[in-house]
Amino acid sequence: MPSGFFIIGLVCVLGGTALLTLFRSWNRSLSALALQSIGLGLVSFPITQPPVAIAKTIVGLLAVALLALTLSRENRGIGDESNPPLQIFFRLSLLLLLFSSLVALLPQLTGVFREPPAGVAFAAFCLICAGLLNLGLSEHPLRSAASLLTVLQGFELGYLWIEQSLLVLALLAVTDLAMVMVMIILHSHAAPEAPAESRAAS
Amino acid sequence: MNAPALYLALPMAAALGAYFLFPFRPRSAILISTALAAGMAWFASALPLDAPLMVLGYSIPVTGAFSLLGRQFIFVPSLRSAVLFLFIGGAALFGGSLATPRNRMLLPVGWIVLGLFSASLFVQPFLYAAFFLFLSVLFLSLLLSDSSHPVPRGAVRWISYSALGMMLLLLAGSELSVLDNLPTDPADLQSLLVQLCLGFGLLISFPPFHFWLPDVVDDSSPYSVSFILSLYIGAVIFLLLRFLDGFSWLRLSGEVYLALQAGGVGMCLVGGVFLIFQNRLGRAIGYLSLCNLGALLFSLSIPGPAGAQTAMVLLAARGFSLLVWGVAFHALRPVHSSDRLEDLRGVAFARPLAFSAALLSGLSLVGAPGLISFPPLWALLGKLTVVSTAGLFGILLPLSLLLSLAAGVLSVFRFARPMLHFSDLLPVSMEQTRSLRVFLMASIFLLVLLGLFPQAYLPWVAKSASAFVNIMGSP
Repeated sequence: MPSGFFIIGLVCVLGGTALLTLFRSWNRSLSALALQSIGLGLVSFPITQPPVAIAKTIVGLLAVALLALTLSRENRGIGDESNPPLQIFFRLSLLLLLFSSLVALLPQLTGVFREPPAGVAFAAFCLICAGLLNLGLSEHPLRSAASLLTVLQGFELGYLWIEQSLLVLALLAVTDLAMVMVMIILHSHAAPEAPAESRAAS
Repeated sequence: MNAPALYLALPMAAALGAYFLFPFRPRSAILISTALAAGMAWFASALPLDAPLMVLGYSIPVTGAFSLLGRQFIFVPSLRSAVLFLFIGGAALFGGSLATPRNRMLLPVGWIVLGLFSASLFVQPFLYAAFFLFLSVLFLSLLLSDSSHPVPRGAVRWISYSALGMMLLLLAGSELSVLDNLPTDPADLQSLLVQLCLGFGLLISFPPFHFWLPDVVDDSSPYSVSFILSLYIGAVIFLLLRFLDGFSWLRLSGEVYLALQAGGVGMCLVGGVFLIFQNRLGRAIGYLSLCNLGALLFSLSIPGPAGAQTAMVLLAARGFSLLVWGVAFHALRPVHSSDRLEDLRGVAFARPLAFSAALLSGLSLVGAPGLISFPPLWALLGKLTVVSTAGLFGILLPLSLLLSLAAGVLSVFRFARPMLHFSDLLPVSMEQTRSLRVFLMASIFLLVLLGLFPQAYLPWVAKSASAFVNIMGSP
């Protein structure tokens, strides 16, 4: 796999995490998650077999599709949160702090996943840290699902370097999808049904 | 016949059956589930492994292992009592649901979780049990929110904490499997201990990761909460013991036992302090269960068979007390919508059986003499005074346990006092349904009987510790 793909994957992961953190509209958040999932697959190409990397991307995209389907059924605007410029600036500063801390601490952090290639470790920790940051920023079940999916994807990327057995890969995929499904069900208990007209309009 | 495959597939099939049967015949679905879980528990103890099973003169070959996606699931004979323990717990929780408001998801989720817990026992290497525990958290969280309990905040927090716990345990486990001997590098040892402590801390809701608990107790069905606090916490403690059993250096490392003792002190003190200032009955029981979990950590901090056996007995006693509390709290709650101290005035007269059961289950969690938790807690206190190190920390161990128990007793009587005040506003009545009355009377009887005659349950519950071959073999 040429290193160009790896660099594109890294850019996708970084762009996805940044978009997910900065913007609160669901259209952008879902696009960011999809971008992130594609990036995850591309970044994992150098450390695993192509079918595994493709499967990881497909699982991520499936999770995004589940979230998109849920939001389209109720009215996507319901989950959008107001996002004044000051908040965007605040989140941007948090992201910059996060990325710069990761760059500084990366040599010490790679030991956690038993020294994977630096790019893979950076992408994994970016996903984990940005996911944790987002998890702290919102308690909305669907937002938490997106954030937790980001954390899990980061962990999967790092863990792929340690363990590549089929059972583990399958369990991680099941975990991702089950987590998103459960969050959707929890959200459906909390959210009132969208009116029929708004559903038809959307 | 493949034994592990049977214990993984049958619960899944039962979940499907219970889901479709429940809307038409809820009582039958509960009774069949209870009988099936009890039957599977018995079968686990009677099943010959890697030998033919004779049924009506026919010989059925039984194998103890099967392979899935390149990994083995093995039912070793030492796991018999653990599986028995698990399915007896499942049967009790299914049976108890007869006395609570109908919930369509309880039986299917219960069955799936029993299957996942079985998988966590059978999977090799056992580190992958963390996956199955997280999957069980996902399914159990479905019980925490429904149309009558629509706020999912506690469940979302619990899922998040558990996901992080799973990741840390998998990382620690992968590192542990590389270093089976005592790591020579102190940095390695420190990082492993931090990962293990954080991982298990997140899974057992060690403070400050317990903040999902008050939300869940406030916003969810009490019976579902008791399901989680008994069965799920039991599975996590089992995994912790398997870590100690599986890695010799971990079992021989003094730091691990010190961490468990510190964890026990922390849980007892934090639980006790929150308990004293608590004005809501549900939350009070939540914090009481934290104190009880602290006692469990103390028992794990005792090296050798004694600690593991005490932990198993404490788990069983805790599970039964929480099950009774879950049903009793359900029966007390409809009288008042709120469970605040001031709103509980006079409920003892309106629901005498539910009040008695709630009081006794609370006192049992505290380890009051004559109740089910007393014998193991008393034994634990005796052992703690022996194993405690010299100095301030050594005194702190039994002292924190005693303080948390005292806080528990104080809290139980604080809540009982207004409940016992006669109120004209509440009509004197018996509990709503016959099954509820039967359950409450039977559970009151058992709480006292098993407390007075612990020899009836202690030996076979303690036997479930035989799953930890290395711990039980150590001096």
